[in-house]
Parts: sequence; C-alpha cells; structure tokens
Amino acid sequence: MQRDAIERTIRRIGMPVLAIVASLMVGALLVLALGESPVAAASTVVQAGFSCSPGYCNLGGTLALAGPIIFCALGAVVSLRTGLFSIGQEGQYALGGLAGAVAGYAIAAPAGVAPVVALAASALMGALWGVIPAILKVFLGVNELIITIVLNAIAGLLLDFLVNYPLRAEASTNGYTHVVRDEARLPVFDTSTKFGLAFVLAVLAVVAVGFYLNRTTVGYEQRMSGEAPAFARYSGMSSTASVLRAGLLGGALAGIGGGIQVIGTNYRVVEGFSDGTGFTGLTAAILGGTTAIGAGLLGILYAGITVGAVNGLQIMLGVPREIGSTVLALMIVFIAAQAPLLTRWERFLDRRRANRLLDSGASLAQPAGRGSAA
Amino acid sequence: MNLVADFLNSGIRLTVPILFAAIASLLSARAGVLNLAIESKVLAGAFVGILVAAGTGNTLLGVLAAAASGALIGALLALAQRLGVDLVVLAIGLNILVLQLTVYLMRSYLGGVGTYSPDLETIPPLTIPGISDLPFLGALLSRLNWSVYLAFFAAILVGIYFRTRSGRHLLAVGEAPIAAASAGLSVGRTQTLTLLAAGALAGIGGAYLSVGDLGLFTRNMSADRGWIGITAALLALNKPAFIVPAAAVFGFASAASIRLQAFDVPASVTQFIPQGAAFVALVLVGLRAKSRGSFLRLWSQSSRIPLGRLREPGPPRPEPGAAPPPESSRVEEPSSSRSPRG
Repeated sequence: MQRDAIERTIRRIGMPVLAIVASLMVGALLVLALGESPVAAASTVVQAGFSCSPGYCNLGGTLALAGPIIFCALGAVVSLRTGLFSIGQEGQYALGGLAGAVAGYAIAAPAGVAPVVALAASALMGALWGVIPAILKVFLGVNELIITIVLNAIAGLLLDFLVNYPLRAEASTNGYTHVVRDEARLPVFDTSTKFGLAFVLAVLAVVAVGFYLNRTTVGYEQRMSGEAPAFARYSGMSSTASVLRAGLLGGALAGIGGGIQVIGTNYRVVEGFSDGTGFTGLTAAILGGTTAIGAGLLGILYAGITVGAVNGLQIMLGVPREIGSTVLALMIVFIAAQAPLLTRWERFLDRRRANRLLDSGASLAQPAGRGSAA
Repeated sequence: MNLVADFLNSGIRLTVPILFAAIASLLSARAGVLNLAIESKVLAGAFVGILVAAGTGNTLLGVLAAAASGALIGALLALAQRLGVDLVVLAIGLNILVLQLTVYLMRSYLGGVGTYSPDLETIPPLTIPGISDLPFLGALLSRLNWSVYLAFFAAILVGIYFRTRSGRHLLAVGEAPIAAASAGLSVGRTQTLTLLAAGALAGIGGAYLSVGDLGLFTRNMSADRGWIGITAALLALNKPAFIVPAAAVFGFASAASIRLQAFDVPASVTQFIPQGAAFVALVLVGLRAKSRGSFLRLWSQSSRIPLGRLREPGPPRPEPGAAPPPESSRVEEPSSSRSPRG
C-alpha cells in the first residue's frame, strides 16, 4: 500500500509537470525556428521578469502587475469551487475599476479612509455584477457560462459609454475619467514600477480566501456544493445560498482587482480598460488548480512572463512578446488534456490490480482497498 | 435611396462572419457540445486563409484552407470530447493560443508589424447581369462575393438538414445522448462530424474577413466575432429559422453604430442593443424552461454529460439506457459532472 501511494503521488504530480514541459518544448521549438537559443530566451524572460537591481526593479513591475490578476484569479477560484462556472471576471473587473475611479474622484475623505471607500465601491459594484449570473442560475436555471459571456460584452460596452460620455474628463480623442484624488491612491513603495500596497493586499486576499474556503464552515459548504452537490444537499447545506454567496464574493474580489489597478497604478479609467486582465485571472485560477495559493502563484508567474516577454525577449532578443502568452495558453491546453488521461491510466492500473487479485485467488470478501469493487 | 442601400450593404457584409460563427455554434449546441472555441476557429481561418491565398494567388484555395484549419480545431475538440477533457477550459486555452500564436507568427515571419497585407486580390464580387445596373438593388448587392451568399445558403441548408433523417439523428444525439445511443446511433461519430463541419464553417467566416473582404490580416482580426456568433445563436434559441435574423441584428447594429457616430450617437449604445436583446432572450428562455421543467438544464449540461464514462468498462457497468443501479455513487454522477474539474 505504501508503494501504491508513492506511485500515485508521482503520477499525479508527474502528469501536470509533463504537460508543462511539453508546452515549454513547443515554445522552445518556436523560438528555435527564429534562430534564437531557447535557453537564452528563457533566461532572458526570467532575468527581465524576476530580477531586481538598484536602478530598476523588474520584479517590482511584475508584482505590481500581478495584484489585479491575483484578485481576478481569486474571484474565479471562489466561483469555480462552488460550482458556479462563471467567466464573468472580466466584466466585474472593468466595472469594479470604474466604480473605484468614480468613488476615488468624487468622495472626499481623509487619507487613510479614501482608499477604503474606493475599494468598497469597487467591491460593491463587482459583487452586484457578479451576483446576476448566480441569481439567474439559481432561480431560472440559466447557464451561467453563457450569460457571463453576454455580461462581459455588456460591461465592456457600458464602460466605454460611461467613460466617453457622462464620466469623461475632458475633450480628447480617447475617453478617460477624472484622475482620482491624491488621498485615494494606494501607497507606492517603488515609484518607477508602481509596486506598492496593492500587491500586499493581493497577498492578504490569497490568505483570506484560502482560510475562508478551507477553514470556515461556510467555505466548506461552498466547496461541497461545488464538488459533491448530492452530499451537500443530503446533509442539509443550501446550495442556493452557496451559489449566491459565490457570485457576490467572486464578483467583489474581481471588482477589487479593478479597483486596485485604478487607485494603485492607473489613477483613472481609460476607454478599453477591460483589456483581458479578468480573463488572465480566470486562466491563472484554472492552471493553479482552483486553489487560492495556486491562484496567487500563477498570478505572479503570469505577470512575470508578461513583463519578461515584453522587456526581455522583444526588446533584447527581438523575439515577439506573444511567445510568453502562447506558452501559457499551451499549458492550459495540455493540462486540460492530461486530466482525463491520468484518470484513464489510474483506472487501468486499478483494474489490472483487481484482476491480479482475482487471479491469485484472493477472496473478494476481504477489504482489498480500492480494487475491492471488482 | 442609395444611402439606405449602402447601409443595408454594409450591414450584410458585417453580418456574414457573425452568421458563419452563429451557424457553427448552433450546429455544435444542437449536437450537444458546448463549443466555445469558435473565436479561435474564426481567427485561425482568417490567418491560414490569407496565407494560402497569398501563397497560391488563388482565393478559393485560401477559403478551402481556412475551412480545413477550422475543421482541424474542430477535430481537436472532438478528440478532447471523446477523451473526456473539460471542453470549457480547453476552449479558453485554444482561443488564447490561436490569438497569440497568429500574432507571434505574423511578427516573426511576415514583416514584424501588426498588419500583414499581401499583394492579394480579394474575392471578386458577384455581378448578376441585369441587376447590377438597377438603381437600388445594384447598390445593395454590390461588393458582395460568393462567400456572402454561401453564408445565407448555409443557414438555409442547416434548416433543411435538420428535417432530414440524419439531421434528426443529430438533434436526437444532442437532446438525449443516452436514448440516441440505445437506439443504435453513434453519438461520438455524430458529434465528431458536427464539430468538423462547425469548425469548417467558422473557418470560412474567418476567411471572409481576411480573404473575402479586406485582403489583409491584423492582430485579433476576429475581434470577438466568434463570441458574438455564439450569442447570436443563443438569441436565435439555437433554431435555424431564427439564425439569419439573429446574426443580422448584430451585424446591422454594427453597421448602424458606424453610421450613427456621425450624428453623435455613441457606438457602444448601438452595439448594446443586440447584447441586451441576447440577455433578455436568455432570461426568457430560462423562465420558459423553468415553467416547462428542466429542458434547459438538460441542454446546458449536455456538453458535460461524459459519454466516455458510459462506455468505460468500469466495475459497475450500467448498460446505456438501462435504469441506473440505486447506489449512492450513481446518485452523485449527474450532478458531479457540473462541477469544474482541474
């Protein structure tokens, strides 16, 4: 049994690692086809994405970029874990950011309070937008995946309209809102990269979401109504409440993601603010195995590869920066593909072991572990 | 008068790629597969189509290659469906992959800028003798090439196909895969062929953008037309009879948004109308399904019904169509398939 457990662990870690290696190999081939060394390219990405020198800290830029991605990824984790397959983080992020910008500009508050007010507005807006698919799913049985596609498009259009007309700061070719007040801005540790309190908040959110899902009763109910709905129902948990809570919480998290992007980095919302950060967060959540810590790590990895590919590959080696996102997309594809293969492989092994037990004349009555069902 | 004709003409041309994508989405959905990778098929079709057309100098070959590239992605999805891969996650990955890979290849090999415009004649417009000289119809039908007519023809064809024997089989497979399997239909093969056809159609839609209309390729050329196609198919309630009007709502809203900007009507407001209509349509479908029972639940889960699981020679082997054994593990199966994996 001990050996079985070890082999199983190796398989379960080995297959995703194999998928990641495979996607890196394809990326290496693409770089090689351009006549550049894949090793040099990889080290350039790491150098440009994760190094830090006194003059300019690349890691700071990475972490500053990671904050909003992590929040969106956490929003996705809360939704997906509860069985609410919402891909609406993009819309929640956009409208949350807009609400933060409006609150940060319009509401006068003392220095310590103003960012809290702005982020509360972001969270509220994100939660309101995020609970729509949850309500429709619970009470009308609408497919949340499809309705969030439409909601994302509507949020993008709404943002473009608001930024261009009612909230437009001044006449210019591109619409943008007023700049948020100085008091409402999040403190920045490094002015050149805008690395600041926003990332600290993201780390705190990772811890909080991890604690909520794994260590609290409501979080447990939420996970169970996603992972084992029948168990949740029969043991008296309300899946309706869980899904609604997931919509509110997931939306609030993605909304705060937009809020910290605005009051931490941009200080205003420009037309086209909805640039795919929410979607990146969703993919980070999926690649991170829909866990809070995975979402946090993958969020940093995504940001690092983006920064590294732009600052390193494209500028220093002349390799188009899209290679970074290409490899990440390949990872999603390969990791999605390995999951059922792993299941099939384990079933095959189980069956073979059960057959061996039968052949050796073992009695089926004795508890023979997992193969006993045969 | 000519203004109206011009507006209708641009509306039709903006409708075409959406219509192709919408038909692809409709076919997949009716065969029981939630196909969210249409965006990637459109983009791949646009890219491959213009590459082949520029390389061979033949637009027809370009369109065929685009169809093949879309069908290839369809084949990938079909394979993944058979293996039991989470199609939603796979589709999200494929959409990003094609978007990034096309830009990477374009920057690497096709001049290193954001646009690839080869020396290429786009598909020539069809001129119908006699009509082109008429004042209104002539303007209305100008600049429309054969791929435009193909889109509307395909919509009609799908409507007719659903009334044939094999079309009925496709619908049966989509609505009740277990029943269809027990009646002797091959669920896997039907879904594979449907995904191939849907991919080819979406690819042609992409080729229309690059080879048929503009004669160039830009970054993210599909610009969410795949997603809009999915939305349009939903607005049409996945019925072939409504697919042309539904796609036209989106196409004409785009055309109107361009025209109305001259009168200071924001483009986002005009484009909001079809999206809002799709939202309302989805909610209404939900309301109706609620009152009629769980048809929509069945439809929405149809993509996740793991048919592979039915064929698996696992220990408690239920015959397809047979009553499920009253074990606790069986009770959990249908609902656990809704939970995200991975």
